[in-house]
Amino acid sequence: MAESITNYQCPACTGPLRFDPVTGKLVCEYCGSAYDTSEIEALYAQADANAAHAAQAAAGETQPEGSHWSEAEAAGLKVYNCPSCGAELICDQTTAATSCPYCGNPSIVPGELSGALRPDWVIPFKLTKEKAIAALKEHYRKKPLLPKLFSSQNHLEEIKGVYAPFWLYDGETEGSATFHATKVRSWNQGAYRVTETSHFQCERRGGLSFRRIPVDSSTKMPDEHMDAIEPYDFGELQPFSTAFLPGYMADKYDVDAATAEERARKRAEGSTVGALEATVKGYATVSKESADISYRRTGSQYALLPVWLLSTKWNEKNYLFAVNGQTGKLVGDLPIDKGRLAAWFCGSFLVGAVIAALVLGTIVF
Amino acid sequence: MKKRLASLALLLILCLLLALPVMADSARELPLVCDASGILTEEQAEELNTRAEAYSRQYSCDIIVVVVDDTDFYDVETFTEGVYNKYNFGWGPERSGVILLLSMEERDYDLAAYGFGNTAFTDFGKDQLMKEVKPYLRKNDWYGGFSKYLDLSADYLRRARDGKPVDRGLFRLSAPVVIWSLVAGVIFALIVTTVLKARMKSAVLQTRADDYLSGDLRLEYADDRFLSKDVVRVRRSEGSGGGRGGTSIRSSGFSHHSGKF
Repeated sequence: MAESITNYQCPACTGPLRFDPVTGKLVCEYCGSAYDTSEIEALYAQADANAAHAAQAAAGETQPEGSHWSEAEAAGLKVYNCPSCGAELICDQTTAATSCPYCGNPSIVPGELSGALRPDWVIPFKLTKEKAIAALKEHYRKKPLLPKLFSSQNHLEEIKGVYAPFWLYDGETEGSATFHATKVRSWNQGAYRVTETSHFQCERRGGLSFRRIPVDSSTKMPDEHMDAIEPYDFGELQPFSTAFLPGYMADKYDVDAATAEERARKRAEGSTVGALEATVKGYATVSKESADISYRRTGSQYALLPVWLLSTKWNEKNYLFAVNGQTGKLVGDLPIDKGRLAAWFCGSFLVGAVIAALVLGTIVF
Repeated sequence: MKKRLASLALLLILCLLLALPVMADSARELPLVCDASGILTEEQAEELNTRAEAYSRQYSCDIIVVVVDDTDFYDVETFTEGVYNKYNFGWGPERSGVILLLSMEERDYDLAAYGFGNTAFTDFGKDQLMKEVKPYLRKNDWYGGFSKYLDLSADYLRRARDGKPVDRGLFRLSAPVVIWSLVAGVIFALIVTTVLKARMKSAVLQTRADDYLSGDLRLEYADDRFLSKDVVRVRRSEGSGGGRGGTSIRSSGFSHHSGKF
């Protein structure tokens, strides 16, 4: 696969090529020609070493912690630093970064590409910018507490496509858990209602295997946002190629695989306890008493996953919205208009009190 | 002592006459407020009686209070019917009236209605009335309790004369209704605003990784052990007739609401 040139040019007219998320092809902005990424990469094939790397990744072999960019790759990439939040963004030579996608700071400055940052995998953008904006507009709808001016003052067109860095962990869990369970039966006995509650202690031992638990590896990307836009369909994972970068920015990881693994471990343990609890059947209630789960990593990979990001300010507070660039799932906390909240409280209070008065005054008292 | 003797005399006469046919047409032979146990002062009894007379005239329905030491071997409801019939209580040809009888030894009460009283004092209405009167009786505030009973009875009769007797399904804004409605309003408002606020927040951390499972659970060991058993016995409620309105009138023509105070 080609890697030496990342600002691909159209073979027909030499115009710059951009990745089209709808067709999954590289499209010429000038003459409209469309090419498969593999086709273009074949045309530009110059770096055999990179082709070997992609083939290795495609075979499913795990990469320890990403790999180094080749010199040719690095030459085709630009780096921008955000002095405000510290984000370090990578994009190809044809993509102009004007503001930071995380904090909205318009004064981002060029920087130097450094470190072992080359991803193993990438999920290409599937959701277009227009659809991402439509998803945001839909997100603002039917939100009675949203300040009226918030949506109108948002510059939705400033939404940016960012490849967010993730560690994907393969792992296994093994352990045991103890649950307290009850069975309840009731019957009438003369003038009494008798309720019998039987208590049980249920022990379970077992394990689970996990494949590609994603953990975002950028401190700029809020964990809550990245968790909430899951899941990604890793069936569409492709070996990384800079051919997917045109038109988008890519963040680089600043949390190493060992540090980020803690979150994967907690999630794996949570799933294991849940799976063990699901086997405690036939009871009225089941509650966890104790659990001892161990987690073992069997592999980790470095991947870029597509996210549309809009950072906007409201009343001096930053609001970040993230749209899954593959599925369109959107997250982002919205500001609350305190006046509207008070109005809704008063209105609900009146409705609730009147209904209660009608019901209680008519039936009960 | 004098009042005690009067009470016994009343009981004796009553026992003799319970089995006799009802003398419905004659005028009443006792004051509307008849305290044979001496729990009221004379002034209190007189004042209550004056009010009872006025209300009874106003609404053409006797409002009666009778206090006795005990009901001997009669149950309180039979005893009340006996008193009502024996002393010719009741207004007009229908002998309309409502009577609150207290038996002090057993602390039993009976609220019975007859004639138009059955229209004005429905089962639900009687229950509501006694809910407001009983707190006074429990504190031995006899004057306060009877006073409340007279005023409420007059109110019930006025509503019945207006064609809207106090009954299930009729809206009535009492103090408990107002208080509980305000509480319900606050709870409802909190629920609504909490739901609306929750819709403004969508970013939450995941605690599980179920989307990334590779294969099923490898269950290696499962053991369920019985620990203990609890048994709780709760007396079943008697059931007060549920949500049906109206008045349950016996073949004797009376309707009752009785119990302890």
